[in-house]
Amino acid sequence: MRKLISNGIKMFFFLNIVFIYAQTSVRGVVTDAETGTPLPGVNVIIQGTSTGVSTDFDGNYQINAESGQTLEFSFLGFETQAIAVSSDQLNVSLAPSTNFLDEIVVTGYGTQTRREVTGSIVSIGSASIEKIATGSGVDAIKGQVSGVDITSGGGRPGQNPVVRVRGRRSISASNDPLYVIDGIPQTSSTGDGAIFDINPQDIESMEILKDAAATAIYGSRGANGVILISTKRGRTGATKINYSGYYGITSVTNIPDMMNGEEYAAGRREAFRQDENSRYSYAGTIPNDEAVFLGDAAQLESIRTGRSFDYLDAVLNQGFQNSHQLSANGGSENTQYNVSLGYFKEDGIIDQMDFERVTGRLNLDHRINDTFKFGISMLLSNSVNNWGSSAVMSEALSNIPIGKPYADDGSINFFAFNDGIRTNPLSELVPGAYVDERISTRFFAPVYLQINLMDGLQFTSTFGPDMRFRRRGEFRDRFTNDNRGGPADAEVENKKEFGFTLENLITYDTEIGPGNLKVTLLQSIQEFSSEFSKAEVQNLPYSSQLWYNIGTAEVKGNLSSGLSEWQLQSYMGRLNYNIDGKYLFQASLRADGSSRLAEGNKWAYFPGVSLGWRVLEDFAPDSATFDEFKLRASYGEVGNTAIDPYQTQGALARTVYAWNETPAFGYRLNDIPNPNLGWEISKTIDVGFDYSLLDGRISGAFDYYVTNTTDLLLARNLPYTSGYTSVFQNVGATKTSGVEFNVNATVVETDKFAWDLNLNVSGYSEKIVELALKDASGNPVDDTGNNWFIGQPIRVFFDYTKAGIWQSNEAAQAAAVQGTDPGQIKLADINGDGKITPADRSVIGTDVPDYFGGITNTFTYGNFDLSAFFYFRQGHMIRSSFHQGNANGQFRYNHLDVDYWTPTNPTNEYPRPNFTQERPENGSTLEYFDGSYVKLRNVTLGYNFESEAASKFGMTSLRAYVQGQNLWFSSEYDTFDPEVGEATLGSGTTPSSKLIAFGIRAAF
Amino acid sequence: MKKYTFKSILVLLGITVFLSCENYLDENNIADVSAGSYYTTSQGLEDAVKATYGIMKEFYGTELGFSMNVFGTDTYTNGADGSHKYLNWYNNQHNSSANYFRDTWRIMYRGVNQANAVLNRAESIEGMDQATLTTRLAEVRFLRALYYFNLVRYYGNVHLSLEETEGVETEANRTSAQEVYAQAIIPDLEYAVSNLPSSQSDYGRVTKAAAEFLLAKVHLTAPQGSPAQTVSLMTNVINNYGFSLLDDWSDLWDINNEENSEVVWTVINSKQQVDEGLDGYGHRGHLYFLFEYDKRPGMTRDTENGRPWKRFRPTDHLLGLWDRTKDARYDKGYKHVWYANNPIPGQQIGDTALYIPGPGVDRNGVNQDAKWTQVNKDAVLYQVYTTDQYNQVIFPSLNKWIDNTRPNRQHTQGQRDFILMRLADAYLIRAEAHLKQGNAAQAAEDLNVIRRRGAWDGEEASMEITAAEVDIDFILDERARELVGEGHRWFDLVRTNKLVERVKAHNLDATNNIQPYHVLRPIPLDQIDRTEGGYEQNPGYTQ
Repeated sequence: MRKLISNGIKMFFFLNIVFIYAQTSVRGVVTDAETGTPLPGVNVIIQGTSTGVSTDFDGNYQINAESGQTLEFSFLGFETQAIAVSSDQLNVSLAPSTNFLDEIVVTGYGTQTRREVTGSIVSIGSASIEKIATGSGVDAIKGQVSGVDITSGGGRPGQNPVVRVRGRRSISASNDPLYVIDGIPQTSSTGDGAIFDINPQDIESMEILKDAAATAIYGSRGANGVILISTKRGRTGATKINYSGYYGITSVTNIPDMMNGEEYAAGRREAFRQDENSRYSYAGTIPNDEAVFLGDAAQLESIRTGRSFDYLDAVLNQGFQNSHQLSANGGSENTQYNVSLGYFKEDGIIDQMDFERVTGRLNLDHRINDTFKFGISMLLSNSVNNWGSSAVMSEALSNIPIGKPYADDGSINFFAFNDGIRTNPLSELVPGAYVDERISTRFFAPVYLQINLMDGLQFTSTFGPDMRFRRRGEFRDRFTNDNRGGPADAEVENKKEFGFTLENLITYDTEIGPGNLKVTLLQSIQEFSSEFSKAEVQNLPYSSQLWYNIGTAEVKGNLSSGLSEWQLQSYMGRLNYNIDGKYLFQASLRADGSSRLAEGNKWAYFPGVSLGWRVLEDFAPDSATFDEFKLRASYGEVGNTAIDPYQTQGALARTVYAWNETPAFGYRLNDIPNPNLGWEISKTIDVGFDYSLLDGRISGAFDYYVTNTTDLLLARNLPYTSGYTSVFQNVGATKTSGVEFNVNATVVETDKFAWDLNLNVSGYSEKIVELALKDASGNPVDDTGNNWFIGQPIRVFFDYTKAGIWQSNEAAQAAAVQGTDPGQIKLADINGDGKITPADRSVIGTDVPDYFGGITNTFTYGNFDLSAFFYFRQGHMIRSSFHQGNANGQFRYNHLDVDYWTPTNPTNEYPRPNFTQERPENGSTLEYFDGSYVKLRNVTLGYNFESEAASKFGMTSLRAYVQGQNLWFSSEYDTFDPEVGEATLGSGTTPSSKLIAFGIRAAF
Repeated sequence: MKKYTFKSILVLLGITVFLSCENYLDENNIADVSAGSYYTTSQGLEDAVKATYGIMKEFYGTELGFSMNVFGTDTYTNGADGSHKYLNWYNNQHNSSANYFRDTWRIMYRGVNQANAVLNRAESIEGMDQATLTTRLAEVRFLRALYYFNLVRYYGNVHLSLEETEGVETEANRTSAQEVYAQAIIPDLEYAVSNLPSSQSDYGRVTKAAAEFLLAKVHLTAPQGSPAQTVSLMTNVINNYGFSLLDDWSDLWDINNEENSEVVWTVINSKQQVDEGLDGYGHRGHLYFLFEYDKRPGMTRDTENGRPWKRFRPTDHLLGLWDRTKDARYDKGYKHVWYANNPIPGQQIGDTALYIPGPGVDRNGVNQDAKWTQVNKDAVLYQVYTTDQYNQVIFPSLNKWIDNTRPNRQHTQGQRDFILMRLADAYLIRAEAHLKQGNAAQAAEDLNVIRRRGAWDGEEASMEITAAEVDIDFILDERARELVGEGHRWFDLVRTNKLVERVKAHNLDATNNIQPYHVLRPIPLDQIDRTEGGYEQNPGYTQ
């Protein structure tokens, strides 16, 4: 082990040494044992001497050595080999190293071995990504990386997950990480679905940079973590064809328990309890059914005949997922390529919701000569996403079960009962009735030119154009929830985004003093422009046209268009110095100038420093048990300018008026110009260690970090007397601190059987430290209006607490304390003053989990393997809007099947039904739930065919597997899948689905 | 080779440096304009003036604007639906956290600041002729007065500023209502009266008559106001501009007759703008006063009959105000018959489906409640709703704002103009000023002008009243009969110091809750929280 390190160091030392001895000339070629590719730059030295050379670009070497001497061949990422000189021709093939310390990690503007890394960086290889059946690379790493919290925003095909690296820091600016694909920082955020254009099967590795020292090289955009995505590149050798594909069936995981006809009718009657003055009262009586159901023939008929219709059952179906990927990889000595074609299709569990994507990729590298090399990573992607109608779910939940969904002739009754608001969800699913088609076409093709100026000095220039065209067409026919029988309307929006990055990078690698020095210098500019145009029309004459002939519409609606542009200019320098491979040091400084900020505040500097100490080298270099124990410490500053352009200028907003029918549009003051807007800065201290023992059988890392974010970009609320509501300002501060831990272990390893375990757990706390509001003595004050509280996380739930239901014998008390009647929610008197006032509201929870993570067990037996991956998130609160919209006690619409109060049912669960309320008094107190859950995210059973068996099919390898996703979960909240991203659980949310898929991977 | 190498590097670096020249980070906002550059041009100033008008739309004609003035009074209480019933109930939700008090406050101050911006920036305008500029400034001063007039009437003592807010302003003053009248409202309106033309080429711009009308009302309301001024200003309005009452009261509500001789000044809604969704506000009064006809036998919702949101339900007191044998205004203002559009067995489309005969003795002397016994009701195929059946979903439905020209039945923005000033109100205000001066005879004369017009043909003489019958309660009742649903009531009751008395007496849903301090709305909690050093709450409110 130690030898390998010191050889690695010596390699650089010998780079420039010329031949001294005039002995037998030994020559040969060094190749990669796995691929047969020649390896340039391999260190060849004569053991026991300081004589050595390195291989040229074709893997050739020539060295003068005496017979009997031993040549040592060493190269980063490969096992070192020592061979005695026995002839003048010695060809060597080096086996790739299996030691995880030799893994190559992409760190941004360069690579390092795992051994050298001093920041908190997690690397996920293609094997971990490919094994999850999904259309999204981000989705594939969910739960696999400590400190990275990925939650899905709903079960719609094409819906983006929410990604948070080490929690949130910013209140108003974006908390999305920066994505860097093949070296180019992405201009469009994940929120816009740009990450969905990448086919996960094309990804070679994803590196997540978590601490600020690692992300400081991305300066102004590093605050929320950086996710580096490297796509697969070609390798020299015979062409290899790979195919992978799967087909899966999806179905709903969990649906709310709604009332059936009988239950609903009983609740509705209770909601009509009235006193003698026809006022709805708990002390009244229930009128007859004719009055309760307002004489609606459909409802009365259902009650008479016992008809009850289950809408959820009617709209939720089976969906499917289908993925195919074909790639060719190979190359000559000078040219390597990787070409792939991918197809992904998902049909949702609700009809008319689907996502279909075709991707094509060409990655090409070509060496002109010893000096010049160029290449391209080209992506072409086209996706069509039918978003479908959100009204399907909300109407299925709200339509009453005692309506009449079908007419006697079997056609759909658009109004299944007599209420102008509720429409039949089945009518949304009629093909062509509701169309929301989103097409995204992407062309992304970074090109680079690399120039070797001299040994150790390299210049690389990269140009990365990124174009994205999006079109969203919406059409809503007459019989949809939007139009409720009114004429059809349509809108069409075209959006064009164009960004490019131009970077010049110089790297220099040399020996200085006792150690090795790497210098990286960067100069870069990036530009982005986005424009859109949109037209909305109403009253279309015929519906087959969708949005393709809007000129025919009787009513022309809004026309809009817009343009948004920004530029970023940067310089960055980085030094890496390591002494004897024991003491590791990295320092970087980036300067970023952003057009989005105000004059004078455009530029900022982002330093980062990190140190590593490989402790074992000093104390137990020959330990048989421990391979590695590396202490790391880092400090870094990063920024966030994720605000929209033009925020500093103070825009006007258009107002509408008319002189009779002559338009009189005006422009009113809207934003206060803010010439002081600057960067939001996050400063992070991170300490941690990496460990490895028993020859890598057990390894992992631990990190503790504290991030202080200051100059928070905050939409500061203003007193309305100013004429404005809010202004963007750098005020306030937050503090996030957390721990992360992971372990990878091979628990059992025998010839036939192996058990691998991977566990990661993280937790963090989030606190607001300062806000715009200050009291007279300058101390920060809670901003109750925004639900921001000093010492609390950014998003908390602040409300009254339900203590029960006021009972019939508590009428006087209910009136005195809360000014209400029996049957209503009884609030807890938090401050104990005997009255319910706004002072009885308190922070009752937050959406920040106590801890979250994943655990994967993989068992291998012979050719079989079985892996099970659990994902957990514990101790956070969610707000359920099902309990707002579908448990409001009004009984105008269908209702969750809950235990509600009546004069004869003195429950403390839910308040008294009342037909004249849109929500119960203080109904929000019913909406908070513990959101903890454990999910069986993935379970896979695979079989790898023996190569003889595979070759019968003309393949070199073949794997077949069956996989299940989301097959099981356990949670406190039982109404729905509690995984909701950061949004509030909504009744329009498409339910999550489980998947059972069959797939194969084959190489030819 | 070396030469080649360095050349190529120079080229690459050169490209980058060229692209990142000195002004590279300058921001050039092409799509939008900012006040700093735009308001300095004459076109920009005209647009800033139009915006001062446009802000009114956020209030007048919306649910907010109606809710603040229609219910919580003696004439209207709440229907079944809506989330703002606290305005009617004066209960524990009628507090400083309530949305509608916040929104009203915010909109009025947005208007004030917009007006201040125009007035402050006018000096540096180039290329605008002085006459036009003076007219525009007079319009804007009128609008600022209107925004402040609303503020002091709702909230009492308020923040007063005559300067545009520049930069982050977190302080606010509390100026007495009397001072706001003295420093802003009265001088602004006097300026407007002196500088506005009698007519404007753009229909909807403020005129001299409108300014006189508003100033007349201010003099009736402000503590320092003079009823004599009210009389003289309203006399100008009545005599000097060619306004006249329409012969038939119901012609006022004809949607094709909006621009008529009785209108002094309105907030304009354009049919094209509301239909096409360019205007997100419009006149929404058609939604709120309708009973739940659409769930009744024989009926389904359609554009003709409207979209019933059931917000406002008339009180028994209101329904008893009209003598239907003489006064035509109940029958012309409320809908009686709904014709089947979703027939039940035995019905044809167009047959009578629902019938609300209305209160008391009708024009023909028939007591409808007595006539429609259960037996008689059962004998007809249609539904008859008599007064004993009125509740939160069944009640007489005001017809004034019905808008069957909306592009479809779901469309919320109606095209009607929101009438802020009409001639009948000028007579009623002058009557009130006469009475305040002790001149009941003159007051009766003005009231009789209105009453004669509201009579059934041939009943004009019997509608007339004598000076002895005139008192403030009579005037309030007459205002209710004439102006019901037009958004004046809450102000009328507060101005005449009758809010608490009348609400207690006539609004069963509020009677147990209303307190003397409810004559002012609470200062919004957000204003208090966000103001440096806090902001004083109105008396009586706990927070």
